[in-house]
Amino acid sequence: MSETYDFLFKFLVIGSAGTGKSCLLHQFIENKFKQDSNHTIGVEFGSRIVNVGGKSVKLQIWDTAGQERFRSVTRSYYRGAAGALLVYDIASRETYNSLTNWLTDARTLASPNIIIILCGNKKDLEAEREVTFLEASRFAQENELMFLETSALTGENVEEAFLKCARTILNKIDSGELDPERMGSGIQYGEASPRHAKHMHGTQLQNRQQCNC
Amino acid sequence: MTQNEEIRENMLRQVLEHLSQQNESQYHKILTSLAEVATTNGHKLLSLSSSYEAQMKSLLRIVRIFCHVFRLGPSSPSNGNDMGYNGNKTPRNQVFKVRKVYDVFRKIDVKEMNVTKHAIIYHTPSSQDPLELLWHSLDEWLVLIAAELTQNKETSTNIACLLLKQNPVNQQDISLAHHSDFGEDGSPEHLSVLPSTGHFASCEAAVNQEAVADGQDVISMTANRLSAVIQAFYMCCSCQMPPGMTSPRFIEFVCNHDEVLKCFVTRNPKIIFDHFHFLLECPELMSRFMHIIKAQPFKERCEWFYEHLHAGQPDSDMVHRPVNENDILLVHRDSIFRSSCEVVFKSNCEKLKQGIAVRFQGEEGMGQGVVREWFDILSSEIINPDYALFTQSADGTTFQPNSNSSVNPDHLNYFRFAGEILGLALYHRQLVNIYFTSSFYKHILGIPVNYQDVASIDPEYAKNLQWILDNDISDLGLELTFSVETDVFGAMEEVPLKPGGASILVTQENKAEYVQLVTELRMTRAIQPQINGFLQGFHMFIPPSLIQLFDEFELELLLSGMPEIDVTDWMKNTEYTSGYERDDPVIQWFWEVVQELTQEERVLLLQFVTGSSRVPHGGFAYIMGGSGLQNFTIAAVPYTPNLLPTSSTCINMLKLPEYPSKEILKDRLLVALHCGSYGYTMA
Repeated sequence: MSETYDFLFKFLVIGSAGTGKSCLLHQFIENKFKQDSNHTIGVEFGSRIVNVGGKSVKLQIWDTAGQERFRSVTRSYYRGAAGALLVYDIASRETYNSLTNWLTDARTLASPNIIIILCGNKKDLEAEREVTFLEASRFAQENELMFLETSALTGENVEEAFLKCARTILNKIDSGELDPERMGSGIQYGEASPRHAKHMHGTQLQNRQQCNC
Repeated sequence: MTQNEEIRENMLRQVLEHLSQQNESQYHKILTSLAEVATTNGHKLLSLSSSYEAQMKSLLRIVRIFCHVFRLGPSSPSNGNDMGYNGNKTPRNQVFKVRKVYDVFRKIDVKEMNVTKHAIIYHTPSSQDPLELLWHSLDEWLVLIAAELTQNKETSTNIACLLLKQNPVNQQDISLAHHSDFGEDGSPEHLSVLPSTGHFASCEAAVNQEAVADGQDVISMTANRLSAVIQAFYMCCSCQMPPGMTSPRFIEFVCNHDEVLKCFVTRNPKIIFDHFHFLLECPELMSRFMHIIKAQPFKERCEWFYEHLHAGQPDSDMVHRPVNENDILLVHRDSIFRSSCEVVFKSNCEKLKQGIAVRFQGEEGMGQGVVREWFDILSSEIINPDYALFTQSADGTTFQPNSNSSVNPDHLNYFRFAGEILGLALYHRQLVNIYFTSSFYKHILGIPVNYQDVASIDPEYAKNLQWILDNDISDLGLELTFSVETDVFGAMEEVPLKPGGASILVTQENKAEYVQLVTELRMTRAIQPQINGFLQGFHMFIPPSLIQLFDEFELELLLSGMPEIDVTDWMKNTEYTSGYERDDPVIQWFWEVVQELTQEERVLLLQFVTGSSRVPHGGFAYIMGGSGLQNFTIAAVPYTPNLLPTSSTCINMLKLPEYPSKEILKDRLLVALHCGSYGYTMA
């Protein structure tokens, strides 16, 4: 029943409707493409433990609805997120154009230290491409984002996107740039953490949390 | 919750309780961590793909523990153990501090809500209390749903569309089906089922356009989940309040989301009982939802009523259990009222809830039948004019407290006793032999009376009040003042209706107030102490929060059953044993005889066999026996001359000898009825 991990990171998947956020999550968690995907209502939740740089990290991923009507709800999920996948559809310029809005939301509503990776999804739709790699990577650079083009259909770069984000957060913890102890950091220690002893009570709680996932 | 989970919860609670008592910082750490876990759980619960049951349970579990630890404070002074750890603590202050923090958050939160309503990006307060995040999300969800509701109101052409959760996009597809549904069965219960998500999905596919997660579906899919979070919110709000008080923050919350919550309850009234049972404890909040609840079928409300009445009771009262000799209520048949009053006042209310056992002095009979007879004759005694407790209504069929009952010096105690008996009877689904005036039922329910209720005690007077209301009284010279003369055992007394009422004239402008005040005086104020005494006893068994599910007519049905005996229904729900068949001549004769009996004799027969003169609500199919439903049964007994029919009231069995002719059967039956419907001996 119990799974051990060193850290727990809260991740968000954000971006316009129809960019394939839920499919990315599904691909990452189940290693499968989600065929008949409906619109997400509010938020969806998934988690997976990954190994990053010798540490096991539990990613708790909140997949938010992209539709405008859910904006008010999904915004309230931003708080306490350590990392985010900002997703657009390479075959839809409209979704690319709205990135600025999503980015502003994330920076304002989540922790200011949130690590964001930009994902140009639907890489497999090369023929219908409307946003070039170069253009998007320039946008990423200007806004200090990491960048990858992904395909939830083939699974290309999906795992990499999540791992890259997690790795950056871990590095920042190691370098002291991020303090997991600070409230709202979106980072919690796990059972296997070296800080374990300091968090006697935490152990129990983590146990609970795991069995409820 | 399985036992296993319960044990785990208890263990965890104990461990956390212990740890949190060690020192202040530990206490805060634990609270924060608990809050964090609860928040994560709550958010997961709101995620549609998570298991609703599991997440709901774990959220409520964590919140229970959180509230428990919170209430404890950093260390409770009553807990002797804390001396061992650290002496210098000021728990009360600490809790107070935490409360202040909550208050601050609350203010921030309210501000934020306003801000978000205007869709302006806001800044997060420091996230010291993770639960506030969850409450914030909850607020956002409810705001979203409110927006969905308004949106649907705009797009829907009529209210039926809205209720039927129609997807405007798919209107053509499903509107026909839904409308016919509505036509056949307009009950709101029906509505809550429609449409299934599957149905929606298929429609969506059929329309084959950009899929719109329909607003109505958002509501139906999230209602339960949101309600569970609301329940958690209520628990957290309450644990900061002294017991019995509803947190102002929560009241504000309910007011803010009034429309959405009403929509939830309309969709699925059971939500009240699954998640919003706190509403029952808070009348000012409940009143908002009462009309929705009252629109539900009577039968369903009865089920909820008993489900919650008996919640927490170890066993159903219908099950036979060995009776402790000390718990038997021993009463005297010849002084039934006084002796019952004595034994009931002496007994423990909780024990009476678990089950009643009655034995009449000098008789051997015991069991459900005796209990039923006890309720039956006792309730007739309560209205016995000799006690002056109740007076007859104008038409002589119904009763209400006698305003002059104080002639009986102990009258208020007797009213309390009457209330207890009625409450006890209702608690155990026993019927009583009294019909009250509609105004008295209203008093039990806490509903205000109106001038039409006066008709039950004084139809002439009610007509006059009606006339005053209907006609212009300016030029009539009635010279009525805000006072009334009443007859107290022959002496006339003037009673003012309001301070200085004797010198205030009734005019066209204030006549409505006059009628209301006169009504209240005659129906309520005149018998207020009696009503209070009665309710004091009644509420020992029936909490006011539950009885308010019914109106005065339903209460009468609940308390007294059906007044008429329907022979066809009786025949339909009768069984035959020990050799009798439905088509036997003796049985044919028996029913012919029953048809020939007067209504009164039928009641006697029913009483002879079942111990009660009343048919339960729903008819003979719902007659109770010693162990649950027990149909009226006729059993054969070998005939010997002059042998009378006998009965076993516990199992509603009439032991009918195999009489050789209809005449003999009728003769013997009537003898038995007129001599034997009271009293028990072993036959």
